[in-house]
Amino acid sequence: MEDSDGLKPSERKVLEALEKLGKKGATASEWQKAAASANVARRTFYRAKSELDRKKLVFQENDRFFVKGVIGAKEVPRHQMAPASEEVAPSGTEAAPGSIEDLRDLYDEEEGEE
Amino acid sequence: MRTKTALVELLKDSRDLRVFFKGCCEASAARLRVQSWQFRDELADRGYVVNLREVQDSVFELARDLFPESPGADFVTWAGLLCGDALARLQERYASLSPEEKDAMDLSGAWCHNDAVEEACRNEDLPAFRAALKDYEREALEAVERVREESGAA
Repeated sequence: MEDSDGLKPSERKVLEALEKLGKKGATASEWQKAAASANVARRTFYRAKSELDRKKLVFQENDRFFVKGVIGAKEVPRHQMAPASEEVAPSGTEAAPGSIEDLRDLYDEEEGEE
Repeated sequence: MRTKTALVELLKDSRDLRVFFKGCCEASAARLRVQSWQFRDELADRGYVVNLREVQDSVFELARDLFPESPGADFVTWAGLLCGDALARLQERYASLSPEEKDAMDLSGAWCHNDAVEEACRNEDLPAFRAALKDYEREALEAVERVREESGAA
């Protein structure tokens, strides 16, 4: 059931978890850990995250997520924002280059650990 | 969100999946293709529902970006797998024809798509190759049906 803000309890918890992480925002995994601390299961988190994104209550800049309208949140120039879902073609498989670079870095780090 | 972007985010979030993806790339194109359903299901768990073909095209592109020298990034093998599927489907229909019908079959309509197939191969563009191959297969199947209708077997 949704509350007066149109949010399900799990979405509310997930949104609050991101709010608590403050103006620096969080990566998806940091956000998920914060939500887990509020007893939100991993799968529930990802469903709620998608819904919050769809409802435009959060936004993503590169790898970090931010709550829209948080006081003190970093102002991001529009040209630096990740495109909103409606700005992206519905089909196709191209990823933002920055995201792939981050993933490549993760692989490089893990290779160094081996 | 595009499928490849969703996959990148998925892999960034899970070390287990990163290890699994890399292992598939290093094993073979066939393994990466056959395991694509696991990535599709993981994406679906996160609310991103997409068909298997799109996931397969995306894991191939990602393999080329991340592990270009790995077997999983080999276009020729991927193309061969897709051709094998298409040929198996055609063979099943072709086998049902009589010797006379086989002789009478005209595949020139399918051959019209050779240029598109070749161009996709030159560009190593898997989605374009898949589309061209689908057109080729459709024309060939229609040729099978035509020859059956003309012989009165349909």
